[in-house]
Amino acid sequence: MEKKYLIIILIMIFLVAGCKGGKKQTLISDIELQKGFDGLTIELLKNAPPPTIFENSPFPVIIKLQNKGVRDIKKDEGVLSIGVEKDYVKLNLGAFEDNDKISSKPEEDKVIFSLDGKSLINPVGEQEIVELNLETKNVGAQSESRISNVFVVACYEYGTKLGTEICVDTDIHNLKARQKACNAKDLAFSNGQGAPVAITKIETDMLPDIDNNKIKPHFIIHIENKGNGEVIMSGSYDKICSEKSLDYKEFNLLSAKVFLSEIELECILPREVDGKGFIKLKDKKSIVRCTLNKGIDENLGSYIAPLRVELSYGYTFTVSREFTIEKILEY
Amino acid sequence: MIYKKYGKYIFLLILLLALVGCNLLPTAKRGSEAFTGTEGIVMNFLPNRPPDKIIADATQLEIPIMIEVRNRGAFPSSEERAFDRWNENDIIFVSGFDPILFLDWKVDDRSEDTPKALIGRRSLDGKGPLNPEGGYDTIEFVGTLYVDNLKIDRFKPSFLVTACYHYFTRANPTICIDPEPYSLTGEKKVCQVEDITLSSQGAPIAITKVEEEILKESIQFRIHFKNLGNGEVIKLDSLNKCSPDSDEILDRKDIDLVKISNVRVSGGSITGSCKPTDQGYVRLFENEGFVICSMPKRDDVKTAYNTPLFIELEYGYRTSISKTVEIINVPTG
Repeated sequence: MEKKYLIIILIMIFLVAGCKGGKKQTLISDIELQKGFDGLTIELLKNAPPPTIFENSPFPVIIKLQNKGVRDIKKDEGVLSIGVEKDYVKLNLGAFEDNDKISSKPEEDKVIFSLDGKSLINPVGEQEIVELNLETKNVGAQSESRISNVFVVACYEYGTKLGTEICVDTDIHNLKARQKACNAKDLAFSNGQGAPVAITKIETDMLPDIDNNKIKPHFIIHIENKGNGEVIMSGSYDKICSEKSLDYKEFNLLSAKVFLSEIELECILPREVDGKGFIKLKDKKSIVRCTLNKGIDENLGSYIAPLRVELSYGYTFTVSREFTIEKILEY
Repeated sequence: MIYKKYGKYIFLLILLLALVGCNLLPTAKRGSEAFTGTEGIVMNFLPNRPPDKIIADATQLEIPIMIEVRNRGAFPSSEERAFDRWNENDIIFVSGFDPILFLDWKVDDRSEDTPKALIGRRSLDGKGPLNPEGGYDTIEFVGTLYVDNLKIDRFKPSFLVTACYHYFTRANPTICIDPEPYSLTGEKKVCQVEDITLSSQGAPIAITKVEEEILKESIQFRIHFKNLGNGEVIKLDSLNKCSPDSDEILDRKDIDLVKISNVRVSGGSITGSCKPTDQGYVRLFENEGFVICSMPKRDDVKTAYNTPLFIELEYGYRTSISKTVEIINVPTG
C-alpha cells in the first residue's frame, strides 16, 4: 500500500513540474504596434440617436472616437463636422469644458479633437466620447413623420511609417567571388502599418554606376488606401470639413520621405502643389520611386541596412445614422 | 543471501569489465589519427554572443560577437618545419553590417578600424601527436550602435564572420615502383603496382587517390584530390584580396585553384613534371581535380621496390558563419 502511494505521489510531482500552466505573458518588446489598416474610428452608440424621436424633443448623439492607428492626432489636427437637416433638427453644440482633448466651434458645427495612437503603454489607442445635444423641430403640418439623418464627417491629419531592413547588395549578379551576408529581394507587407494608407510592397533594385564604381539602391514603393475613407492632401483637413468649396486636386494626394541608413533618398513626387511634390493615388493605389543618388561603393560587401518610409496625408470619412421624427398626434 | 546483498555491485563490475574489454571506454588518440579529417579552421558563435534579441534602451549599444575558433586540421605542423606558420593574410573578420550604423569596433578590447583579427596571433597550431585536438582560441569583436541613428522600431542586422587562411594538404603514401611489371620470368616481387586510395589528411582538401602507370621510359602518377570541407578554395596568390581592407576584390578566376607545391619520389622532386598546371596551379571542377606527374625510370634498378611518394598541396581557404540579431528600439521615459 505504501509503495502505491509513493508511486502516485511521484507521478503527481512529475505532472506538476511538467505543466507550465497559465497564460503565457507577452513581453512588452514583443508587442507589434505597426500593423492593421485602421486610423481613426467613429462609432455612433446604440440609441444615440434613438431610432424614433418625437418632434420638438431633445435627443443625444453620442460618438465614440478611437485612434486605432499608430500616429498621434495632435492638437487641432482632428475635426468632426456634424451634419443635420437644419429645417428639422437643431444642433446645440456645447463647449466641452474640462476636456483638453475635445473642443468645439459652434458657429461652424465642428468638434476639434486630438487623440494619441497606439503605444506600448496603450496598445489599443486613445478613446474619447463626444456627447452632442440635438433637438428635433416640427415635421410640418402635412406629415406624420419624417426620416432624417445625422452625418459625422471626420477629417484629420495622419501618416504612415514603415521601418524595415533591406539588403544593400553590391554584387547583385554574383560576379565577384565574395561571401554575401544577404541577397537583395522584394519585400511584401500584408498586415499594414497601423494606418489606413498602407505600404504593400517594396521592390529593390541596385542600379550600377559604372563610371564611379558605385551602386545606387533604388526602391519602388507600392502604396494603397486600405481604409474606408478618402485620402486628402496634408494640411487640408480643416478645409475639407467645412463649407468651403473643394478642389478635386486636393483629394488622393500624399507626400513621402524615404531614408536608407537615415540618409534621405531622392524620390520622384510627380504632382506639384504650392512648390511641394506629392503622389496621386489612382483607384486607391500608387507607387513612388526613390533612389540613393550618391551611391554606395561597390567594393563594400553586401550588408543589411534599415529602410524607413514616412507618408504624410490627411484622411476623411463619414458615418451616419438614420432616425425618424414622429409627429405628436393630439386627438 | 549474498546475491541479494551484493548483487548490484557484482552487476556493475561485470558491466565495467565488458566496457573495457570491448573498447567502449574512450582511449587516448594515437598520433597518426591527428592527420585525418576534412576540416581546417572551424568557428562557432559562443552562446548569446551576440544574443538573439537586444533591447536598445541606451544611447549607445554595444553588440558583442564572440567566436570560438578551433584548428581541426594538421597545419601548421608543430614539428620543426620553418615555413609552417600563419602569415598576415590569414585573418578572421566580421562583415555584413551597415557601416553607417555600426562604428567604433574593438577586437579583444583593442580599438580597430575594421573588425579583423590575425590568425597568427592566436593559439591555433594544427593537430599533432602532442596536441591531438588541435589549437583552440576565442576572439571577441564588439561593435557600437549609436541608437539615435536608428529610427525604426525593429532592426534585424546580420553579422557574417569569415575566416580566410592558407593551408597545406600533405600525404605520404607508400607506392610500389616496378620497372618491369609485365616481366615473363615470373620472379617473386616485393610489391605489386596498384592504385592507392587515401582517406583524409587533416585538411579540407583531401588527396583521394593515386593511380600509377608504368610506361616504357617513365612512371606516371595520376594524383586525384577533392575539396571535402564546407568552404571555398582560393588561389594562394590572391588570398590577400579576401581582406575587407584590400583594394582588390576576389574574382571568379581566383576561386578553385590549388597549387601543387611539392611532389617527391624517393626524395627526388618531380614537381616540375606535373601537368596540367598553369604556373603551378590546378583548377578544381565540381570540387575535384587531378594532376599527372612523372619520373624517369632508373636504368640501374630492375626490380620492384617500395618507396614513399610525398605530395603537398597548398591553397587558400574561406569559411563563414553568420547570425542575425533583432534590435528592438523601445522608447524609454
